[in-house]
Amino acid sequence: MSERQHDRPIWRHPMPKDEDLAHQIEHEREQHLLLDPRYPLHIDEGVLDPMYRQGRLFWLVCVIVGGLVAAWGATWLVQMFYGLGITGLKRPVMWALYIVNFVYFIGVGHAGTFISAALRVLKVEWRRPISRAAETLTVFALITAAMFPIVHLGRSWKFYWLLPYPNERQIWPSYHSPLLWDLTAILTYLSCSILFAYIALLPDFAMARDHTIGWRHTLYDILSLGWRGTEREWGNQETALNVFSFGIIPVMFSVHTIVSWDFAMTLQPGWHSTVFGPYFVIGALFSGVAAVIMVMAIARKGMRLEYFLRPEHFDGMAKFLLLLSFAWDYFYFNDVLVPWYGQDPVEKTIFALLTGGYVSPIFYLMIFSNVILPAATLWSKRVRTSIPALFVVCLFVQIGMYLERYIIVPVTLGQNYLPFDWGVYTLYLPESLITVGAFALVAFLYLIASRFIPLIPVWEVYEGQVLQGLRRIGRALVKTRAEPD
Amino acid sequence: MAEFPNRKWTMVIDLDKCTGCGACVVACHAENNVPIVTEQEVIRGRGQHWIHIERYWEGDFPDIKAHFLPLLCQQCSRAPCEPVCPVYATVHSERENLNLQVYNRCVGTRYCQNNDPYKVRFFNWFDPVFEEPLNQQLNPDVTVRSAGVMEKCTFCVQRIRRAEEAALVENRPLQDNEVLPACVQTCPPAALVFGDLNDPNSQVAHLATDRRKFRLLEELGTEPQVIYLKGGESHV
Amino acid sequence: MSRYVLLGLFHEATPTANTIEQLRAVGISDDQVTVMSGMPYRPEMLGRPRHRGRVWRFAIVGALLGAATALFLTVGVWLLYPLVQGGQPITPIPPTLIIAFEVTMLGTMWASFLSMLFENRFPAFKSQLYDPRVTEGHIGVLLEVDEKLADQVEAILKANGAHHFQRVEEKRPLFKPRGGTWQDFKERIAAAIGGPDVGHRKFWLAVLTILVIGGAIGALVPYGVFPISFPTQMENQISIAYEQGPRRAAPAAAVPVQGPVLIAGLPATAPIPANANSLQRGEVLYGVTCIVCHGATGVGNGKLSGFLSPKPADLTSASIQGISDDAIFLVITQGLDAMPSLAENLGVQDRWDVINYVRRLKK
Repeated sequence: MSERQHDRPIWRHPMPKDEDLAHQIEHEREQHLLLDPRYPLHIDEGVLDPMYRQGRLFWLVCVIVGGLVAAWGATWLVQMFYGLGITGLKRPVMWALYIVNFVYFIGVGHAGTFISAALRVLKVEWRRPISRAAETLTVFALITAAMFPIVHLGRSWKFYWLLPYPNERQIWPSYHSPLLWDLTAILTYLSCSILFAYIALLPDFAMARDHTIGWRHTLYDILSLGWRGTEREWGNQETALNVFSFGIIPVMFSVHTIVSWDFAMTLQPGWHSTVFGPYFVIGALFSGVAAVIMVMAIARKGMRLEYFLRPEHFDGMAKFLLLLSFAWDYFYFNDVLVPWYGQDPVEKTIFALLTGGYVSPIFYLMIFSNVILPAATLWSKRVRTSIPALFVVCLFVQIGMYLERYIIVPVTLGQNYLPFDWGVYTLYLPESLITVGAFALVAFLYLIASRFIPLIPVWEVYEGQVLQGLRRIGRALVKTRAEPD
Repeated sequence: MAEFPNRKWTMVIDLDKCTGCGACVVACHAENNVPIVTEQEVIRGRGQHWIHIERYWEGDFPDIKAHFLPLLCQQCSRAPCEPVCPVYATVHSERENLNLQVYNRCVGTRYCQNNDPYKVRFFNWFDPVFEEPLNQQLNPDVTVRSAGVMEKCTFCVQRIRRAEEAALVENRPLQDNEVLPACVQTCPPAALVFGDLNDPNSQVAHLATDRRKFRLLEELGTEPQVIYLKGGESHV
Repeated sequence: MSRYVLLGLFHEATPTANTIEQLRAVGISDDQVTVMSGMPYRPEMLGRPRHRGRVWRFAIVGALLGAATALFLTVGVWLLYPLVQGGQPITPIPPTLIIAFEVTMLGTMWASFLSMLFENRFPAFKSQLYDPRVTEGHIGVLLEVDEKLADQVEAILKANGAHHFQRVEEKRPLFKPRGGTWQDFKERIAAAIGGPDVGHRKFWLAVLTILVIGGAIGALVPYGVFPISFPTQMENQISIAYEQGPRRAAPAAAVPVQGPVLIAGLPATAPIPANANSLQRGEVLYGVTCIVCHGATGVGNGKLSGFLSPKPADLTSASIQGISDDAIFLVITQGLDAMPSLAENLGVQDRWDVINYVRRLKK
């Protein structure tokens, strides 16, 4: 039976014979990872092998990206030495690119946990191979994001004054401030995301320990803490994962809501809005899912994970992205409609700047990237399953979401109640370097991690392959799954 | 021990009298060690004046009018800049009804400036520079703020404290006009008046009943302690 | 009678389940058996009793601890430092709720993580009976039997297709005995103190000890028990207090002078003796009034000298030192060429002090 006949509607086929069904099985195996089981040793090998592969390109990228990270560090030192004056900040734009980066990277860090936790709770099967890549992205993006409130401080070296502990200053931080809510939420989210990823990593570290020698064996021996895969270990691990999955989803929602409250709690026109909470959460998921897709695409190519990451996974993620795009449109419309209707003079000015002022190129690019492009392309399965096309769409979404945060922070902040103080923020070299360095830091951490951490949760894939099967219903074979609880 | 009485320090600014001369700005710089930034920095929007004259133009040349608005920290009773500070660097003095800024505690999140509708807080972008003879005229009662710290008008709290302590030592009530912030002391047309609103006989209490009075951005509910007076048409 | 620990590896779930069933028939209880696998098999797949862990309970305890911490952080801190901000109440409710939520979740998740490690007896770095093939998809059945049953059990395992069989003689019991006798209780205590797989307790005890001691030491630092001076910037600020500069003496006969002061009858040399007191005052006054032009050594190289024409006089030169004190007094009082009158800066006595000092500059 040729490929073409598979494309024909199934009811046109004569009643399938066993050999036809065998072809259909073959077809399903090509499509779905979980229907394409291999001997577990080969799966282990497929995950561990790329970790040993450090070609010339890997080191080249490492050096470039590491150099950019070092440039961040150097710029930061210079900034601390001379003062924040070397950046483009000015009155009244007291927050600019650093806070944009903060919001953006927190947003990127959101999808990882969501995919991992929410899809685990909902038992969405295609999440299995991508959850690890998503979780690590969360951790690295959050680490990067958590740096920015410190970078942005006027006296960065005093950041620990925001931490509550008995101290020589005889005063504790003020929990009236949304920044303290932010700090608490981010510390919760970051530490729990790391633990969440680590719990799921334990069996994979044990797998790596069993199949490596030398220093890697020692490393994984320590990291796996002596995991043997006994019933007790699996049982407790599952309980812990359940606690985390149910616990981290509300925390994830709260984190970006609190980030939005940093803005919404102020009297600044354009910020003082009740829609900011859900709007930011959706925006975060939107950019985050796009970022996960990009990471998946890069990891698939760079680490040759074509067996694990298949078009079906990109398809699922892209559908999710399309959904989030619509949700984002809805919230953005809310955010724009109310000020527009209210005719508040300051908000009207900001709106005029977006549609016809100096920000309009940014605004229209943002609308194109976040609204038009996803809606115009992602309905098509061909785009969703074509990794280069999807990559480009996701890149645009990233740009669009970054610009959205740029509009919210420095552009909006330029206008306030007293027009005498209005100002336009322009980018200077220090914050540009630090921004580039931030992207480089995420890439750098990911590069390093990709050589140390099994990027595919082998035990989850293995479990999925054991549980998933094909069942014949009438003429066709359909996917079924042994519901594991 | 004798107690300091409760105060409600208030400034009344008669916009009909203000000529926009800027003497208050200079006096404030001298009194409060406000750093003088370079011309280039001012062009970049980093001008640093605890009190500054906002000038709004109305009409087209030649039929043009200038409106002057001397703007300083409004010492709001419900200051929006206060609760957003994570390190208690800006807190409220209930007794004096002043909005205090503790420079030593400030880490420079600049959140207060974002939540300040009047934009009267100033950030030290660089370490302040006072060249050789200028450092001799620094006011020893006022801290020189380092880079990365927010600062703002204090209603010359050092003068308030000095006068109050003197009155306490001499065991007498504080006289009206005994406390004069530098800007009030300097104002040539006496457009600025300062005093305790709790004292019913004070000049500010009298002026506060003026029908020309208004408070800036009153609708935000910040309850500012600076009262502006503006009546009819005044061509300056 | 010695005990043996046996480990058999199976390819599939079905023979494993069969084995477990047959072992139970032989009289081996479920407690003596454990199954190792590379993926989480459901207990019912292998015919094993469902594992009942205590992680949930720890999570609830963690949640309560977190909520208590949150209340301390918010309400406690506010009551410790009752500072009013923006007209808000000292202990507002909404921020309390936000912090309470976050820290409760933090406590829940950290507690479930730590309890998972503890309940799993991690870290277990001692060599345990294990086969790396478990992570290759094999299912291992690990059990502990008496010597008399060992051969029988081995036969059951092999009959069901167990490959890679291990048999180790174990001195100490691997599994905690169940039951209520005194002997059992003593064994359990012994296991808790030094059993084969309780190394993790020592580990966590050590971690806890380090945390408590470190925390205590850290908490003592701010209270000056271990004084560490933290440099702040603003203590190093530039500040020159009132009257901190040189203090001028009051004029002897406070006569305001306009015009020349050479009054008939005044002595031609300094009327104030050049004693140590006068010289010291003169030096200080010179440093305030004269130094900017004439320089510290008096040679006329002060900081402003470059802007002046003619140049400030060299006070150490013979021509200046040659003129009388009266003439110098007059110059100070009236000024000469570029030099302004210093009458307002220096009182009469001050001027004589300066003259005394200037005489000492001769060299």
